This record gives sequence, C-alpha cells and structure tokens, in this order.
Amino acid sequence: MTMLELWRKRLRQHQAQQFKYLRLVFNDHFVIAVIFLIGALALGYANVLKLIQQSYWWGPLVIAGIYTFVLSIGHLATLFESADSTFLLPKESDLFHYLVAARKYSLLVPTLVLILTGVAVFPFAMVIAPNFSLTSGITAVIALWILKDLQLWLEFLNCYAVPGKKTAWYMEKGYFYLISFIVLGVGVYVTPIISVIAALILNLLIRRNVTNEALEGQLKFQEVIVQETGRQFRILKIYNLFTDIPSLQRSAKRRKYLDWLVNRLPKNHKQSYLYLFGRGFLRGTEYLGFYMRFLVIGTLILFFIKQLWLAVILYLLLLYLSGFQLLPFYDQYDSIVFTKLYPVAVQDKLKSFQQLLWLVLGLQWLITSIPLLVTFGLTVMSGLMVLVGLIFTGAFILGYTQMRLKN
Amino acid sequence: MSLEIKNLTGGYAHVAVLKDVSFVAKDGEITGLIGLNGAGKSTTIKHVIGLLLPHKGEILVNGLTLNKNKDDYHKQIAYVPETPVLYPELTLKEHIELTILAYDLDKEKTMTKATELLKKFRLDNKLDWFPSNFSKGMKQKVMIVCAFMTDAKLFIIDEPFTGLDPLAIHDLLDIVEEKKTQGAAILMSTHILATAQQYADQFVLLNSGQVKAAGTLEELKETFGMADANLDDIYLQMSKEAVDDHA
Repeated sequence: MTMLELWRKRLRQHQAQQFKYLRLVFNDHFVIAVIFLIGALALGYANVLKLIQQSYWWGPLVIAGIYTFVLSIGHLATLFESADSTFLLPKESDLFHYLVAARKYSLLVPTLVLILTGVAVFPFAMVIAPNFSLTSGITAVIALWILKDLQLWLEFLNCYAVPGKKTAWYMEKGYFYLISFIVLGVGVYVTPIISVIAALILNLLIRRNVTNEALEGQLKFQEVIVQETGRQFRILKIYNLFTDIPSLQRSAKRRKYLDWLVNRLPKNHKQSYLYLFGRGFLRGTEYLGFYMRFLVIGTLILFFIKQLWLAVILYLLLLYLSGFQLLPFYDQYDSIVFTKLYPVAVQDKLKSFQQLLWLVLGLQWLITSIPLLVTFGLTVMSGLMVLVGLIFTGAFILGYTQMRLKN
Repeated sequence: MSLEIKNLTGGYAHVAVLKDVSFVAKDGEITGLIGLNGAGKSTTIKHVIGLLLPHKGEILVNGLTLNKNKDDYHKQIAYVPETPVLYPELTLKEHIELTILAYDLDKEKTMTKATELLKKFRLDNKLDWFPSNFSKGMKQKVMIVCAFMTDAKLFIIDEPFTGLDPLAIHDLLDIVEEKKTQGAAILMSTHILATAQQYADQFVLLNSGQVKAAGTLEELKETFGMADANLDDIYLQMSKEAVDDHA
C-alpha cells in the first residue's frame, strides 16, 4: 500500500467518525436551541451595528484583528497515530505524498470558516472602516485564504527538521500572525489588493523551500504524533460537551480551593452518587470550565439586552444548554467496573444526578435572574419571568432529564 | 458453601466462552482459578460479579442469585480487578469514603480497618492524592485496600501478583490469609503457580472454557496420574493435553 492510499483510507475513517459524532451532537432539541441562539445573536449584532454612527480611524485595525484571529482556526490534520512511529518508519520518504495530501485536505474546513467570517464581518466592516466596499470584502477573503494556505505550508515544513540546522525564524508562529496582521491591516486601510499581492509573494517564497526541506530533512515522527493527538483531543473535547466520547481520556485537577464546597456535599448511602458526581463536576476538566464561561458570558449578555421577550428566550436557553451539556456526565463513570457493582439502586443514581443538576442549574437560575431584575425592575412582569425560569429548571430536571436518561 | 457455580454456559452476547462450568469455592478456603491465556478465567469472574449474564446455568453466593437479590448479592462480594480502575477525580481517601457509602458500611470501624491496610501498604501518607496518577502497583494496592476493608463474604482477585512488588505480594497474602481464617471464601485467578500452590487450598483448572480438573493438589495429582508432581508440572501436562486435543 502506498502512503497516499493509506491517507485516503484514514481520511475515510476519520470522516465517518466525525460524521457519527456530529450526528450525535446535532440531535433534534439541540438544533432548535442553536437556531434560536444564532437568531438572538444576529439580532444583537444588528442592534450593535445601529449604535455605530460613523467610521473610525481604528476601525480597520479591529477588522484586521478579527481576520487574524480567524486565521488561528484550523490546522494541519495529519491523522498520524502513535503506532506510526514504529510501523511507518521505513516508509518515511513515501510519507511526503501522504503529508501533501493531508495539507490539501486541511484547507477545506478553514476555507469554509474564512468565507463565513467574511460574510459575518462584512456589515460591521462597512460601518466601522472607511471606504470598505463589497469588492474589499471579497478581496480580503481571497487574501485570507492565501495566508491560510501559507500557514499550512509552514506547518507542513514544521513536520521536517534538517539535523544540525537551526529552524528558520519564520517557523515561529508569532511571526506568522504578526505579519498577517500587518498585511491585512494595510489592506483594509488602503485596498485589499495589496494584501492579496503581499500574501501571494510570501506564499511563493515559502513554497520554494518545500521539496528541498522535505528531501533533506527527517520527519519528526514524535512531534507530529504529539501534535495530532493534541488536535484530535481538542476536537473530541468539544464533541464531548454534548455527547459521551468513550475514548476520551479524562483528566482531573485537585482544585483544593473548592474543598469547602466539596465537603458540604452530603455523605450517605442513598446519595453515594452525589458524592461521586459532585466531586467529578468540581474537579473534572470538562464541565466546570464550560459552565463557568457560560454563566459569566450569559449574565453579561443579559445585562445588555433591553427587549423583554429576547431576554427571556436567552435566559431560558442558557438554562437549557447548561443542563443539556451536562447530561452525558450521567454515564461518565459507567466504564469503571465498580459503578456496576455498587449495591446502589439505579433510581438513587438518577436522583443523585438530578440533585447535582438542581445545584448547578439552581445557582445559574439565581445568578442569571439578577440582570433580568436589574434591567426590567422589580415589577410583576419580571417577577413572573423569574418564576418561569424556576419552573423551566424544574421541568428540565424532573421531566426532560428523567426522560432522556431512562432510555 | 460460599460461591457455587452450576453448569454455567456463558460469555459475550453471541460467543459462548464458557461451556458447562461448575465448581464451588468454599468458605474459609482459597480457591485458585488456573488456566492459560484465554482459558476463560476472567470471563468466569465477570459472570460471578455480574458484568456478564449467563446463557445457561446459575451462580449462587451464599444461596443468593443476582437476578433475585441484586443489591444483597453485590454486598457480599469484593473484587480486585486485573487492571486497576480508579476515579480520576477522587483522592485516595475519597475512594475509601465512597466505598463505605456505596456499600453502606459502618464508617468508623471501616475507617480503622482501612487505615491499618493503608499503613501496611505504605500508602497512609498519600491520602489526599489522586491515585489515578499512581504507578500500576500502587493503584493495585488501592484496589486491594478498598476491597479488603469491606465485610464481604467472597473475595475475588483477578491476577493479583502482576505489578506488585515482592513485599506487597507478601502483605497481600497475609491479608488474604486473615480473611480466610475469618471464614470468607477467596477466589483468585493467577499464572504464578508456585505462589498459588503454596497458598491455595483448592484449584480449578480451566481450559477452552471448560473445567479440566478441580480439587486439592493431592486430588489433581491423582487425576493426572502424577504422584510427585507440583502444580507447574500438572499445568504443563494439562496444556499439553489441550494442544493434543486440538490436533
């Protein structure tokens, strides 16, 4: 089997796996929630745009900053596996073609991201940057794409090292982002054609080195594998927020500063699982961070929304998403044999999990109610909304959770 | 009469690994479950603790079965798996505490026992650490502590001697011996035959999912017609017969 065939085989497997996970993530209820969230965000975006009356001299810098940030999404996907450093060692030179194909494939997702960003940023750029037109918007996306292509060539080169030779300065990631920012900034100020030409020149300069470096150099198996494992882990971690990914190695942090909370959890036979779930939630690296970010950002956004109906939808949506992403946690310990042996009734496990949800969502309900009460005052209407929030939380925990976890 | 396996046929959903397995692990005795890789030792254990369900046959622990008295059945069993599995987010102390809660044990009495065991295994200064970061042998010790601090009637230990240092093996055998004199039944699967021969009272020799022979060492010698043999010789003889059977 040539390495190019190996790549094609792995790509098929990889895509099948991604598709499987995506289907699990985007299940019926979640899609509806996401559509609402996008709608709310779009409306908020439109409101913000209305507030900006004129263009500013620093406008192009903000635009260039957003563009540069988006360049950091999507990297070289090599699909290397840890056994490769043993089994593919004799195939090193043939792997060149594998990696060329991998690099080409890696452009796919970033291309979509760049186009979407171009579309999303366009109305904002129109108001905040002077002389920004539709042509500028399209040209800027082309420049971005050439820069992304360049970045992936750099990452390709980074798979190789010539023994005894110092790595070139431009391999340092910081320089890429700095130069991209300058190239894009100048483009947005003057005309994006400049960005396209500059990006093209840089791109060709780097490409010149590719064959030489790869022929002269050695493939850095260990490093490439570590990078790919890290990349896969980051993707799986995102999926894992919404569904259970069994292969994901979980890690924990001691977080001693939370011990005062941990120690308040009840300790009795019926609530054995609350003992476990509580600690898992507070010390695991998956749920707490996501929950806290959600809570902080959600509360901040709620402070800025002045339409009652929109605020209420967002308020309930945040509660739903917070609870929803926690549901896979219920099965987290099933792979540990003891969980199957404990003489604890399944109903008690479910009850413990619901108690955890009450603690987590209850706290969120309390905190996100504050901006509602602040913005809309202590009126009957806002009081009613907060009550609706509580009822919603209860219905989610006692109704929805019970239904989802029982089957 | 602690553990009684009657005509057990079982394994995974569509593959029967075990064929008509019957044996008894008596109270106050150590029963050694001996067999080649893939003979069905771990599968047998998985059936006993209820991770696999029998296709045919019955498993009784002091007269209780899993489908009639799930919780009481489980309360009687303590299990040390071959590969240590621990909760990544729990400290050593919390593993002990969780076991106490889940098995509804007396807190103070069990804690005293656990502390004794922890001292024995030199783990008493690591109570506040995450054991999932320990070495394999140390993890194994944590599992042993969590199993042997309970009041179980039946202790199941899967390949206990791999990964443990010699001192720990010695300590483990001490603890097992103690439980044995208190009247518990111990089922232990292993490859380390010299140790098994020295400590086990009974042996069950498994091959291709069937019990080839069972009994004390004397009885095994008779079965195989090898008067001066030790367990090693009998084991080799059995494997040879198994290979011949295959041919």
